[in-house]
Amino acid sequence: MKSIQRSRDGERVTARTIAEPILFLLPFIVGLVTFTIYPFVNVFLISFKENYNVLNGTFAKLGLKNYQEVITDPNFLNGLGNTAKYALIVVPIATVLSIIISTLLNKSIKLKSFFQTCFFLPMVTSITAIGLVWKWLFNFDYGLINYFLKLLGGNGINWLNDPRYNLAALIIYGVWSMIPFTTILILAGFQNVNPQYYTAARADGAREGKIFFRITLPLLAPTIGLTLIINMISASKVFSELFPLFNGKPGSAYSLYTVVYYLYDAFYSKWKLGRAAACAVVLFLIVLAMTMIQLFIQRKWKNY
Amino acid sequence: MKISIEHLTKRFGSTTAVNDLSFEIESGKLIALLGPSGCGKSTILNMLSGIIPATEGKILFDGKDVTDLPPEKRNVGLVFQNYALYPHMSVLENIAFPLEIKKVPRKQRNERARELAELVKIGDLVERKPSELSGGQQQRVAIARALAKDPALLLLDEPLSNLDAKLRVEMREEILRIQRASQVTTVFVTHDQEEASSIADQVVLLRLGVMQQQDSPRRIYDQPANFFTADFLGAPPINKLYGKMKSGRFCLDNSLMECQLPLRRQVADGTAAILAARSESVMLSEKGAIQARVLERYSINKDELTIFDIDGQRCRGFIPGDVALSAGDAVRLAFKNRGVFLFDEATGERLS
Amino acid sequence: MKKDRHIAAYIILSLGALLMILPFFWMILSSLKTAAEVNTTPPTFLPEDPTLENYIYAFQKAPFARYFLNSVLVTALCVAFTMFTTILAAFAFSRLKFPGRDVIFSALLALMMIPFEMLIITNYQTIVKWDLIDNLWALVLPFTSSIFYTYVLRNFFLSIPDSLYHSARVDGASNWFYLWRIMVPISKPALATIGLLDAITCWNAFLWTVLVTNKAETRTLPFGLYAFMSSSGIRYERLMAAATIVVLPMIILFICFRKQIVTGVSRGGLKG
Repeated sequence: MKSIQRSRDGERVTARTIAEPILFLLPFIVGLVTFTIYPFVNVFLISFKENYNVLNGTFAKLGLKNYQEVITDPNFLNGLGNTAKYALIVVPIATVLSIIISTLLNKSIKLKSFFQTCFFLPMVTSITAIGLVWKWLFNFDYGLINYFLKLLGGNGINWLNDPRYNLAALIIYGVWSMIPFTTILILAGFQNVNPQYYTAARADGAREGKIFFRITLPLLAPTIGLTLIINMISASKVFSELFPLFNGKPGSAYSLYTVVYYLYDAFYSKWKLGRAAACAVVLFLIVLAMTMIQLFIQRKWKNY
Repeated sequence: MKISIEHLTKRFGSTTAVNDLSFEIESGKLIALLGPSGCGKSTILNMLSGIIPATEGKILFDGKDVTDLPPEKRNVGLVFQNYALYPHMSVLENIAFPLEIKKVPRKQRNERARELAELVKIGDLVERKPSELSGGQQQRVAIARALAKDPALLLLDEPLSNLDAKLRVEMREEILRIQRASQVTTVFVTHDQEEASSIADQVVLLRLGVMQQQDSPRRIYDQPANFFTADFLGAPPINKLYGKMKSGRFCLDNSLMECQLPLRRQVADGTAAILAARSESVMLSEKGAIQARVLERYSINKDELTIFDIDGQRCRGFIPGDVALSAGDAVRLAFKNRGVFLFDEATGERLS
Repeated sequence: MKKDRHIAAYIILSLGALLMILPFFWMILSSLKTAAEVNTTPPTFLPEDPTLENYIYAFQKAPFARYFLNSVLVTALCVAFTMFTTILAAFAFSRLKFPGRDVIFSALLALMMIPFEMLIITNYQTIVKWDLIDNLWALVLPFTSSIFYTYVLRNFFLSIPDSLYHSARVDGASNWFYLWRIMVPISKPALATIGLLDAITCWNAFLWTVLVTNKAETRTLPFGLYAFMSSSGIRYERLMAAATIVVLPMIILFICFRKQIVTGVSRGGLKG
């Protein structure tokens, strides 16, 4: 009788049981290694290669010059500042609005699916296409927004061509496009709140406002915390919105760089790969830090 | 098909689920693997089907060693506790699935599936999806599917535990009928002793991975091999009176009662022992050696189950309903010859 | 009291909903107006003389038919490839046994936080090396392996009872047969969600498309639209018609499959 190989837990080990997982994973792993893992490692290497030549792959030496250039580049600092402003303004506003919307959507109202469709629709639409629509809405002479402003007795604002208002325009568009995703997540968070808490609180005679601040909000806190972080991460990658609004420029006076725009610009317009890579590493560190916070929150709130 | 299990052992890490188990199953019989949860009965079933490999020992089908054969080469049919029907397939497709794997032509396998559906009496439901069936009907589909490939051995894992009480009685009779009709050697796992003794030809009683007894339901009830077996079988549970042995007799501590049973061997004086008596073996008797007091009565079918106090220990007995007794009455009890056993308290060994 | 509160809720929700879909309405209304009507103050609400001229222009004078076809092709290929790799990988990570399976899987989950923007430099070089610039495959190949979708599907696979697998194995089914005959049909809802999310992402992809396509023949809709704006000047009635062409398929998709998409998004957000 031939002897049979067994693994530690007594399963038969045959050529098939070894080969099968490899074959099942192969298509996935090939794609992952080629287009995620290898480029991820490589970007760190490039970021240290000074005077890197794209065409033949040669470089002067390994060093920190790229990082030095990036962190002293006014455009990068401008991008970092704008990205931070954008994230710190857009995310809280979008979150507060989403909390209000999801609280109302969570009530037993009619037309729920109609309202959901309206509020969630921007999520599935192309940033470029809808960005163009916003460009049209922001138009100085014929745009709908200035029309309403004038109707209310104000003056038209030159949103897109006056550098002072560029960031404001980007932020308005940003809030609008962040609301659907945020609302969906917070609505999902509501499902973890046991309705019996409300019944109990009402039976105790608590007012609606009190219920919201003393019960709903604390129970939603973990969801809101997560949403904040996820949105912060996505806001720190703000980029595509600039193309339709400012014709591919970082603001009308080149004053609205963002981190990813800087990366794109260094890479694709200036062909400074080392600098782009260094910027990419900085972006990664930002995301990494926020992910750590996210994991911390998730662990802390696990009991809910 | 005759099944022999020889010194079968299964260890999961440091825990031993099945320990040095040996028994045989005769061809065409219906066998129940009975035991409390954690006794290893499902593990044995999974080793018979080949889902779980054995750590040591052998499994023989008609004398052929199948221990290292993968499940698909053992020709066993398997019915799971949750039926494991494929929700996206019709009943007919479900039953025909094992034949589909064997690449039996569609017409042929549907014909066979219809036959089986008739056998398990769901012939008119074959076009439905499993979710449109009741628990009992799903069970029938699962059995039909397991029979589709003419298995040499049919295995049922807790087949009735997901059904309500009334359906359970009906389905266990159905299982017996189907088994008799198909003549397939069948092993089913259960923790319900009534289920096991009502339909099985033989019961294999297990505890913590060790076999306690293999016998017909009648014999296992009437002649328990040890205290665990006596205690596990029977409803209401067997009465237990704790005492000591004194010159070959069982005595309660303050000698209110003495009882002599033929002993199998010499037992040293002072050995802690248990007198176990089935409720139906307890009777009123004016000359009875046991003094007792009535605590409570309630009726079960035609008899009244009466709870007695014997020197601080409780004892249940079936007393005919026409005997007038009320709580607090002092009575004298005696045991019938059948259904009374003496066990060593420390080892569980049967002494009488 | 209770009724009043609901009336307030309806008013706030209606106003909010109006603001959210106003851009879409304005886009469609503007696209149906003539050049003269678009540039008037005060703006007209409904087009006075509705015209499809702007759409005809987009399809005839600009290669929007081509862009549309490219988008459909790229989206279909992306979804098909992603589904294939995801199904196989999710099955391996949930059903097959191999040493280090769960450790490898956790490591992959950690990779999820890598921003795609970080990878474009090397991926661009790879595409150049493979001579795929201005080739539709360049828009497909980098996106065929998704850790996130694999994670979602693996969790779904894990929720399918083991007994189904054991039952099929005892009956002689191979892993491959079991996967395609049992697992995949049962997992239709999860697969639909994944497919929809992936389709939306592919359809709207912009940055990568800008990098690897130069010629009009290989552009997809979002980049085509952007190029249309840069090349043919800012004519809002035409731009709005073009934007409608890009956005409308996704709006239809969303209205038809709102539930699946919303579940997919919330599952991903909260557990990812």
